[in-house]
Amino acid sequence: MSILSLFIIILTVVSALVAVFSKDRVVAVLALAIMSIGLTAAFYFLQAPDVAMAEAVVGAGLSTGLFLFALKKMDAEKTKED
Amino acid sequence: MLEGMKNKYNLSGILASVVVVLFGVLLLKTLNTHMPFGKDKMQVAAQYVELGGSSTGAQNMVTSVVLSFRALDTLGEVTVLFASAMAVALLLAPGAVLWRRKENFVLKVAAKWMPYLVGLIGAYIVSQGHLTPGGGFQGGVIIATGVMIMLLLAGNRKRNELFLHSLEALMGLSFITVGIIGLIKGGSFLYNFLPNGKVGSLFSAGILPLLYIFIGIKVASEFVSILDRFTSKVEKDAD
Repeated sequence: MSILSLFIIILTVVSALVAVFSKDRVVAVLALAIMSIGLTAAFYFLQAPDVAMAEAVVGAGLSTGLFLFALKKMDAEKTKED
Repeated sequence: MLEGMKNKYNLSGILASVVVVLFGVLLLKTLNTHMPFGKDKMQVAAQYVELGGSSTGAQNMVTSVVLSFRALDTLGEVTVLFASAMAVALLLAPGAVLWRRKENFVLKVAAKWMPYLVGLIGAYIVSQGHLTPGGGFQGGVIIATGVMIMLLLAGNRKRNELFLHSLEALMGLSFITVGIIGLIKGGSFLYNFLPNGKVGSLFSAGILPLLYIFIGIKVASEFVSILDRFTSKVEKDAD
């Protein structure tokens, strides 16, 4: 196992754990995005560029934005109720 | 999540995890007897790899499987996305802009130019779907991401929902129309009725690039409508 693949695996697993156990929602969302980047690199080195591209675009790009928008929306609705 | 942490060690939790582990072991055992690890799971897969390039004319093997051999599944996939966009539209009503950002210089300049560049990359990936990795879905999502950057700095925006939804409906209709033309000409739904052309050139692989363009625009408009719903606030409370 090369150092690069070890780095990718550790990055993916650690950021997934951060996403699960983090108390701050924004940190969790960003950790999820970093996990997606790790997975993208893993898919690419496993010679699946199509899947890697889908993971990068959806996991690190759009879903991160959607999560952040949803968090913002949650905060806004909460302040309106108070 | 916090309540789940509190009752972590009660009986039902332990029982549930035992059942899950048992089920997993059973599933693995069954799978392993029917499909031994490392063997071909289906005879079809080998044929896909063997015939992929020559029969469809697509350089990208994944595209030849997704849009030629399994094109009907792709239609189902796009329909699932449409259903989820409809669910979001049902839950979140359109309204005024949710928040307004302070005029940050970097964001202002980026939001002015980035959407077009990102959209260009998306269009490139859609149009080269049969040649290089990527395709309609990935490219469509990239285009939607470009619009997302635009939405980050949206002040008073005018939305044209009719255009967005009719674009999406038109693309879905075009996909099915191409399929039906194939049915008439070749005797099967989504039959590749255009010439294959030279493998590796832009105008090759018959109907595959056409289908990918339809999918790309459909996916982009669906995601843009979802993003729009997420960034707008509800006008009046539901109850």
